[in-house]
Amino acid sequence: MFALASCSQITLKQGEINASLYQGDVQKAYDVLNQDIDKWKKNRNALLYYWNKGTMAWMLGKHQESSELFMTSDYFLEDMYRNYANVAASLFTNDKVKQYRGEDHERLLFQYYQILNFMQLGNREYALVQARRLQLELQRLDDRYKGDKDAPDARYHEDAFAYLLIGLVYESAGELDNAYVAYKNAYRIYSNFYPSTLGVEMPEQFKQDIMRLAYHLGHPDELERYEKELGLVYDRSQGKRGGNTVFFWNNGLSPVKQEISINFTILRGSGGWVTFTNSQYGFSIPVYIGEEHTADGSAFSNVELIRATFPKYASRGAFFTHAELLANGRHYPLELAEDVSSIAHKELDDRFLKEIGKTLARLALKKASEYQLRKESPEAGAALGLINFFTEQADTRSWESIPHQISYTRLELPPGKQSLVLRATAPSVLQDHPITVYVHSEGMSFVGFHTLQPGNPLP
Amino acid sequence: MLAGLLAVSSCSQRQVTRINPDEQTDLSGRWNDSDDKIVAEDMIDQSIDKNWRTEFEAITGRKPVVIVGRIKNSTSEFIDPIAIIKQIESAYVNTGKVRVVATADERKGVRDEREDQQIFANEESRKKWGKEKGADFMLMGVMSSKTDEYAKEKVVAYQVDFELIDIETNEKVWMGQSKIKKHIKN
Repeated sequence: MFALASCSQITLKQGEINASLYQGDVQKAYDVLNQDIDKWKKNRNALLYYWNKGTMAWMLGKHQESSELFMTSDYFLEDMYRNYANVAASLFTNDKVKQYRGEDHERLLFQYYQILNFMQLGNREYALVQARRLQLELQRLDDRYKGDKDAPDARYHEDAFAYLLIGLVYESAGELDNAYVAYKNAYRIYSNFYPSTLGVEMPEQFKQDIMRLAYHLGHPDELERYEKELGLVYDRSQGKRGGNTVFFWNNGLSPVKQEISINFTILRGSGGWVTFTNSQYGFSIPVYIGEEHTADGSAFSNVELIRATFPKYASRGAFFTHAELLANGRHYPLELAEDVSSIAHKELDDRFLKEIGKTLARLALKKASEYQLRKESPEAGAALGLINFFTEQADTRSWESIPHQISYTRLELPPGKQSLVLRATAPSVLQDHPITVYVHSEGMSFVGFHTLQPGNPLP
Repeated sequence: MLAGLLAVSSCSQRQVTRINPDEQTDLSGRWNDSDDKIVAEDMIDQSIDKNWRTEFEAITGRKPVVIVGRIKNSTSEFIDPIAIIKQIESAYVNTGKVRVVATADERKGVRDEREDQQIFANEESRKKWGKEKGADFMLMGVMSSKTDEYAKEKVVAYQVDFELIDIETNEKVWMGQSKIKKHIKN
């Protein structure tokens, strides 16, 4: 029933990039991206170019270049809301014609990379600006799905990890009140939406951080509430400062979108309505296409068969299951803070019905115009039918170089250049990666590393 | 009919036109040179002829010396305040009412040059150490913004606060504020 299909130049190049990433050869993936800059940057895939190249540059330690690419993407996104010209075109063709705007989680994640870039470049002021921009994006996300956010099956409309990151940036700048507000948001989301819907538990490190700030900012009642809810007792003899180094572990690769096709029967109704049905999935979806197409004598026959295509995520996951950071003769376990794959699946699942409605409306219109033309010229109508068949493709674009999951830990290190080891483990495999971090004498240092190997290396 | 369905591509010729630098331009809605100019002029107007300067001159019999310190960016935009700083410095110096000394970053370059002169310049032209003019006041600022947006509309309210601090006593001798509010519709 499901047919997988892939085409387009972008998909082919993405395949080459993915193959390099699976082998851990980031430089090669970066070089592939550099080969056809114009094709990538042109029009509708520009955002993917900036994001992919920004990610590769980040992985290669080119933080200045990476930050410039992500900043371009940031302004590009901001300005994109002004250009609706290509939206109308896609009503008749498909979403691939549209400028790629990124999934909700992708528009948050590029800011994670950007914050790491700025922190790694020692530009704390810009990291703070980015944290504030991330807050604005979180507000946009919340506004977009405001209506149904308290429903038990709430959509992905808020992100605990993003708030955790914002809190860390504020903490690094000594703005503890702002950090605490961000942590409180993260706490709320880690307490409900993340465990129940995404299967992500609140990290132990985060529990300590929010209790520490509650205590030192003079909120004893709130500290007691956290202690009670978390079943922990906060050690009040601890200092005001948390660890001065935050390490983020990006593991595996995000799911990729593939095209699935579903066959529908179109039943012609009356008053301009047709109904798309599929007995296997139990779909029966009425779509309005205009009275002239359902009136007697219309070219639309009573029963039609049609194939519709949709994007669906396929997981790639991660090869490594756990990791720890070795420093100062101690082992610091890395705790899961964000499950990018679960969020991606959730987002697409949440809007699947909407996708179906949109696709079917488009198909019905295309079919109607095809029949209309067939009445005037059978050859032209047949040709349009052929064009319609070939232009009907699901939009399978996504940012494919982001991780499957993000884990983190926080530790105290002496100022200066420090050498650490990231030890990633999988059943019967252990891999050590040397990590160098420059620890600032003031504020905090952020550093990240991506173990790319997926669990399921899809082509 | 079929031709109409095919994508039509057109190559537009880029046009560049020189315009008056004083003209207010707004394309993206983000902070731009017009905002720098509005804030700088506002701050110059508010600060230059105020009591802090006339009182200082009456007491000491000389013009005050100012150094520009940090302008903190607490907005949600990547703004470089250097254009504002330079306009303020230039107005202070060119009116002849306030003297301005090099900022911390600029001093480093000047000191490197002076150090070089000790080795490479002849004795008559060689500049001496310990003759730098100490500032009486430091100008500091904070830029902040609040964004309110919904659907395709956005309102950004910027506030720029400047203050002049007596370096010897820490007293804030002057405070000024400039506000810009933008309504951006898409």
